[in-house]
Amino acid sequence: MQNPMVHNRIALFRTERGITRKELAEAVDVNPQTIGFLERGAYSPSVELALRLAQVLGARVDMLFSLDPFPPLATQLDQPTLPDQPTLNETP
Amino acid sequence: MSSTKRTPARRHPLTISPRVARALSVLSMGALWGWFLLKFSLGDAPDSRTFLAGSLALIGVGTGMLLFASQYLNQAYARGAELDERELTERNRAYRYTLFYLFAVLALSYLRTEALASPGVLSNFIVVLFFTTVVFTPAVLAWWDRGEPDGE
Repeated sequence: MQNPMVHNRIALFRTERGITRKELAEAVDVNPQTIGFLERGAYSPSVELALRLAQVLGARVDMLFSLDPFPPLATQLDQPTLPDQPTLNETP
Repeated sequence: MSSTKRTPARRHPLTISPRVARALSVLSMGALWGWFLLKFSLGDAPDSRTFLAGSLALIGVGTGMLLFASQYLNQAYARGAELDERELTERNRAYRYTLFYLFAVLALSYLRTEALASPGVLSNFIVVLFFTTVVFTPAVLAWWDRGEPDGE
């Protein structure tokens, strides 16, 4: 059975944290090339590596990895605010 | 997967680009098998083909040793602790391909056992099989290498 494709947001979180592939690779103890493979989706990490990446990037594993493709950020930002959520203009 | 800290791979003195490694692998395998096949057509008296066969053998072994001494040697034959999980997965896959290559060549040779009947031909066959098998795993790894930059 072929392994299912695991989608990830490693590049996004890494860029946001301002760290290079090499720095991330050193932090999770892999070859820097492996980070490139992960970011391209050419390699699916083990549970251990996924947990280490989540720890280093300060994100939950389910925020970093998914079996379904992540929606584009623009789509997420375009979504209207739910009515029961407080907005910035509302005073408590 | 072990959770122990990975021993970083040593920097190789002979680091070549994946493109060069691919060229070396084709040259090495092609020249060695070319030498082996050309030896069948050689007569007793030395002629231009004798020189060509000798050149092919030198090219095959030389390029094979260059590839073998490159950074792909480390991934192919390093201790498991020096590699990360992706490199280990790739190496295992490369070993499977090498085993398949070995079985394929042996199966083909079994079909033409009469051609290997003479000790000289058998000796050449073993030399070619040895060198090409040793070079095969680093060659496969070089073909899979996409030349990913280390930093960014």
